[in-house]
Amino acid sequence: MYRTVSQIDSATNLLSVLFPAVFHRVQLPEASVEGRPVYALRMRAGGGGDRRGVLVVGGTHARELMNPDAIIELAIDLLLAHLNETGITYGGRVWSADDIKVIVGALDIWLLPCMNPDGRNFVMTADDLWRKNRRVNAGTPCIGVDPNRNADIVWGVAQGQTSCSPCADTYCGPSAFSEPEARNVRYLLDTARMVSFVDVHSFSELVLFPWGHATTQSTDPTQRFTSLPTGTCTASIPSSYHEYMTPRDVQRFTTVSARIVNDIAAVRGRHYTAEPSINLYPTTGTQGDYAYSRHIADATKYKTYGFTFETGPNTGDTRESFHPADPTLIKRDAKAAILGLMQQSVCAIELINTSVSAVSKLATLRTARDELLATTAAGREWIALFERVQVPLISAVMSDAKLMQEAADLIGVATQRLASEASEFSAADAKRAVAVLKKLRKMTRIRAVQVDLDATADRIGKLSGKNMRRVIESLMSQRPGSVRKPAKGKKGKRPGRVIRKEKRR
Amino acid sequence: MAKQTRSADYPPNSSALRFEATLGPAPRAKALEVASALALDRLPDVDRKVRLLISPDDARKLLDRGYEVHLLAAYPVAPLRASLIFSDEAATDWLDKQLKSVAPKGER
Repeated sequence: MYRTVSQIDSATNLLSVLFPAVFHRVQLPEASVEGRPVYALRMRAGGGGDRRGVLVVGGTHARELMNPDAIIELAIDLLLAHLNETGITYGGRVWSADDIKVIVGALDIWLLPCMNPDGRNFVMTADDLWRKNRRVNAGTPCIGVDPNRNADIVWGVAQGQTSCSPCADTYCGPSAFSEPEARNVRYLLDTARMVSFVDVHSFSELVLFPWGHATTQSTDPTQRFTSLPTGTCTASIPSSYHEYMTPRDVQRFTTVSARIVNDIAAVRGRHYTAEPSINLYPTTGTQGDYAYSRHIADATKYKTYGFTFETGPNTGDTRESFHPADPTLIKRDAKAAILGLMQQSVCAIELINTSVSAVSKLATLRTARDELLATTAAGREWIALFERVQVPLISAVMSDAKLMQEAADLIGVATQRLASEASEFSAADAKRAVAVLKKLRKMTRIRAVQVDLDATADRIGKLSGKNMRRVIESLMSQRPGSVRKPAKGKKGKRPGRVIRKEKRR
Repeated sequence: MAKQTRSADYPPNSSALRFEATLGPAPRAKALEVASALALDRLPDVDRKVRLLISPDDARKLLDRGYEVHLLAAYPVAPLRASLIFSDEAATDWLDKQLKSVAPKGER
């Protein structure tokens, strides 16, 4: 069963009226083409100002009916889990009460369940395979702009599944952001600090990430979309063109997507595929690519990792694939995927730092991560290690006030030391860090996490007494678990694994 | 990029049809090219087939260009089946039922 637009609006209204401490409903600045109000729902628990945001958009393509309902139901699942202090179980995937506490306590969750209300209404009243919005295209007998081709990312380059023909189902519109529905999404990206974005579509069981207009490469930063001729509906992208993405972001997209795929598989065994969106078909002007592209086009914008989910399988029947008679199980998969993305959008360091009284400035840490560690393969492995251990450990840390303070103190020490490359990572610093890691190790039974923590403790123990420049260089050149080759002629145990110091870029 | 417009009766009226179709015997690259050139509505297909949702007019254009159009299914243009849409009462009842399980001392 599917909700009408007014039923979706009623649900968001009721949630915000009954639970004002958790939900805040926002009427977005632009009504739809046919004049319908468009609402977003912000969900959060507790206080705090500048939170990391996650924006979840549904109903972009009108006929993909399941996802607006799934988003509403996820909001209710999160509410109930938060208020009743329970976890959320979707089939075989369980998020504990502590997991939920962290997600709703750390993030601003922005839900835009029905981005294209006119289209949804048209599907329910006239044409159940309608895709676009309901724009009257002047000078033509044709209706509709594809809201997922209208964003300002390589807009107006008609290729693959993007068209400049007003009668096409993938019509990109007369100009970038010509459509109020698309401008509403841009508004949300402009007004909140979104670290993750997902546009939830159907069907094909995919987790997609940029790019859609070209294949991705990480070696030539000069190949950027900002230099492509766009906006004319006459330009094309040369086949020799491959869009640049930093190795760090390639890693982030692939690891986050892989974990989302695992989350979905744990529910009932459906195997989604994670891949760049061009693998589905070439596109321009999509919301997922736009969300991620913003920080590249304009350095003042925050980086938002943009995803597109394609929920549900191809059943062999188009109608049944877009809106199955019983979407219950697919919605459960979709909710697991969205929740998995939310969980991975929490930053343990940021959360710990804002949960204690003495707040450290994290810009120094971010700089070290993005401008140093992220530039070598070994450094990126340390980032990946941190990202994979934080998810299972953060809720345990948050429930232990003493450990939380110790972790916050360590963050403070790290920011102080990193502020000056000449400062020393002392034996006392190393001892404190290793003590925290040992406590964390006792909190988990996950063998892989224990191995990661051991590798970290081992490395930290070897870095004491070095200045911070040497510490960073060590992490940039030696992967977790690797052992530096002893100098020639020295006696010693043969290392288990030897790495070569990599050339820094 | 060729620009192609559908006939003036598109989107079709309530008695019209859409077809789910594939092209034959064109190789994939050729099928992709024609789908893009005619701005046809391409359906996702995990097997990487070029599956299309087309109007009768689109089918005619493809035939005129010499393609075999394999029609897999026909879908009359029609609103979503009423049985698939929540009644207002059912939607409200569902929500009420869910929210009844909120703990009495819940944060509101």
